[in-house]
Amino acid sequence: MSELSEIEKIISSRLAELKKSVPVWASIVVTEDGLPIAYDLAEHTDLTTISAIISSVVSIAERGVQELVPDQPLNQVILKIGDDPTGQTIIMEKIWENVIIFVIFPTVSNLGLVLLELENAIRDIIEVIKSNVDVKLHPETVL
Amino acid sequence: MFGKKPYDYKIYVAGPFQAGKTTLIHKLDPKALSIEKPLRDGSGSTTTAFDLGHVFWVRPREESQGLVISEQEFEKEKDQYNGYIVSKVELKGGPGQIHFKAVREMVMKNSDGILFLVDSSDPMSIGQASALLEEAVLHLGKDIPIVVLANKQDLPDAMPVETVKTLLGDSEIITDIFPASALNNVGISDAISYLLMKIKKRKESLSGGN
Repeated sequence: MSELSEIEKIISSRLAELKKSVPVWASIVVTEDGLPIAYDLAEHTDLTTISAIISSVVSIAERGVQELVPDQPLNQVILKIGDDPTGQTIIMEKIWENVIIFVIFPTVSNLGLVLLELENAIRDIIEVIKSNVDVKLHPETVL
Repeated sequence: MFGKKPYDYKIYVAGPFQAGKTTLIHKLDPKALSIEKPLRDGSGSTTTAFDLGHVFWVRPREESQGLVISEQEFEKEKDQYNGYIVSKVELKGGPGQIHFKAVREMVMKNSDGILFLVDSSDPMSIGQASALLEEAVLHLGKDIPIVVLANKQDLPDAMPVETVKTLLGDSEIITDIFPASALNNVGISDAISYLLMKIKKRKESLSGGN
């Protein structure tokens, strides 16, 4: 458990770092079955609920992709919410076996820059995950 | 046959993780859609969004409990059901893992009744089952028709129906509990047609008669 807490701490700190470099409001790393691994969220956010919903949205998108473009994996789900200048964009990306990253940022942000910093963060997070832990789905999910 | 006509009845198939909800829906509708992830230990899979299936409820007369059959069975034996009352039923299953509460709330919305599954061979899951049943009743109302299935009766260590009922506790909510094996398709069609009769009677009483 202490090893896992350490991993959670490392990934959460990487997510916090991401927020410093681009205007990402919140980010979560979750298992495919909707359990949080690490997060950088506002205090009032219901982590359990949002993690489960991320899992469901990505699962449904994957199923849709299977119907539309069989044999091609789903890489990313993008949601646009509201209108500029207050609109927000959500990116959900499957980054590793059973692991999804979620980020939300203002739509008016420089998308290219956000994607670049996100890819850097993902690379670092994958390194932490693959060298430290085998993320399994329920009932053996980590955390 | 299903075309664009709306469903006549919508049943929310509920129950804890690994109670057999997905198995049941696929037994009744082999073409059902399931959004799930395989468990990495190879022991099965877990629903991460929903299961969606549809069946036909065929009755020779209004007051008859009739049969619940798949679309394929109906199409194959269509002539046999000439003159029958045919209703379309949607079966919606939600994820059983407790943290999917928000997703379950979306799935159960607008349901006419609850088919609640309990794993009879797993007494440890009964506590979670009670919580999930309470959650569903809270959202759909205490008058929502419910049928409980004491599932996995095919397993040697399955508890008898009465024991499952006692462990579940609330006798006001759980009035109808049936033994079943979703895996072997035993008891499920009867339980669903029984539930559909309850739903139909409730709809009639709400609309003030017939």
